[in-house]
Amino acid sequence: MAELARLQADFAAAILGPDADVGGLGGRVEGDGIPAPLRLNVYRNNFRQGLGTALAEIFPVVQAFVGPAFLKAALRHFVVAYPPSEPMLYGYGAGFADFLDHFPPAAQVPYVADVARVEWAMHELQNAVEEGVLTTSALPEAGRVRLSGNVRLVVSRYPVASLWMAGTGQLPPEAVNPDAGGQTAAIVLSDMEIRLLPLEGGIKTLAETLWRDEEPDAAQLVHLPALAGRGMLTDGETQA
Amino acid sequence: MPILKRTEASAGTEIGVGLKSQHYQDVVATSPALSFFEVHAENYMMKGGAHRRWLDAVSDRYALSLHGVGMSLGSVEGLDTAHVRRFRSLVDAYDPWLISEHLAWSRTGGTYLNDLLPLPLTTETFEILVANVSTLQDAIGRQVLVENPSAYLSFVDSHIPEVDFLAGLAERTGCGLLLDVNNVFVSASNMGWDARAYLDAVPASAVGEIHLAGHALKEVNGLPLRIDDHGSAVSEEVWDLFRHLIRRVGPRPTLVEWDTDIPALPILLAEAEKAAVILAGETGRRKAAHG
Repeated sequence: MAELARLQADFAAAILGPDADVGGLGGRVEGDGIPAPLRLNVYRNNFRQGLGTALAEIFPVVQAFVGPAFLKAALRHFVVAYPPSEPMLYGYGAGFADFLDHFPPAAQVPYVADVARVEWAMHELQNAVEEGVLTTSALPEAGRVRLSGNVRLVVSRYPVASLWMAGTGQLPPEAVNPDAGGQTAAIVLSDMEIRLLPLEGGIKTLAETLWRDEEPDAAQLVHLPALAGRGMLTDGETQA
Repeated sequence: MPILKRTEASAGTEIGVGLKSQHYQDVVATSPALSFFEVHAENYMMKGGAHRRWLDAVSDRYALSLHGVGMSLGSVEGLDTAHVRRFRSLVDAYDPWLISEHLAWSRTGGTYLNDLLPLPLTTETFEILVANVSTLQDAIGRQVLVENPSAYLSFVDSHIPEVDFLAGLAERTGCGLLLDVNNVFVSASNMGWDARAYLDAVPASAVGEIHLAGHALKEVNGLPLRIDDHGSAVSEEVWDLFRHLIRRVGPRPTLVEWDTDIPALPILLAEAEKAAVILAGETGRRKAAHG
């Protein structure tokens, strides 16, 4: 067992390591005509390109802001620093927004991390089982209400909903000033469609309280019907 | 535990293509004349959502081939039991006609490397494959077809030719083989093997499915290196090898894969049609020759 275990650990280290470095694989890879480091680069490229391409499909709006070359470079850093732990790639990439927060080249566009959070929320909901929701008329008189699993919230210091709309061509770019102040965007799966809803005022405050899993006060609860009307409250059951 | 072999009910002339999300709508709207669709198991392990709904719709109309790409049958640490459970749930949900995985590894120390990585073909590796393939077949109660991967390098301590390794694996575990003709060609070119000799050495009775795909030709260090990118039409050399194989082993369910630079559905269907014509032609010729 020991031989193969060591080889697999060395191979993984080589794939995640710098180009042309064969590490512990030195002398164990046959290089007929094409030297071993160049042969190993094929696997290194497959890893970076395969994951990079899969992730780029999840973040088209980020790409609209930073351009394909920047996104590709950022993803290449991300996949090596945070490789997947499971083979279901649809579940890989949740950490990309946090990565962008700390990726020095993205410092000029600090709002794209929140745009990435919106896109990840949409991606995640695409693969989710839609839960049953409370209708306005079925609101309980008392007791705890919770946000539905069909909902994700992105609370941003930037106008993230407007930025997303500019990135998807629904608003002209010149209409959005990234420094115009924060917005909270709700991403909601409803009737098999995913929508982005900018939240404001009392609805925003109530949604944020529920998102933090805290108890809303009486003043906030006035806005429950509005949240129910947007299909954002769970009925406590999950549809088959 | 007896292993259910659904391939025994096969005529062998079935043609399929890999199902891509870009083609969902066209497939369901136009119901192309194919026998089956193949899906990568790991793309459908979520509990619900749009992809599962499309898969439900396609599997209502066609036989399904479930093709795992992340089981890491060559992992020295054994199979990931959670992943085996997820795989089994898909088998239970869709009762696929064919089930396959790869002679490769992709997972070590909790990291998934998202590729079909090469193995040194040694007796140590062989015993690991025997154990892992048996574990998977026992868990799902079905025969698994094991596919030959594309290789860009080999290890100095490999001492079992790949085709013998696979034949031995089939014999020991009762698994079948998924023979990827493009991979045979790519590996043979990159490693200096003889592709025809490889095909001639495959135990015909073990072959349960054939894969065809396109590959890219690159130049590395002034020498050609073929990259199995599934991003173009099947090459002429691979069609020739396919004809040769069918003449030898007879018809087998055949799949055309196209996974990068994905074209419009009709282009993929035209490739499938080419495979169908060859399969029918060579099968007819074979019958005539054998009386």
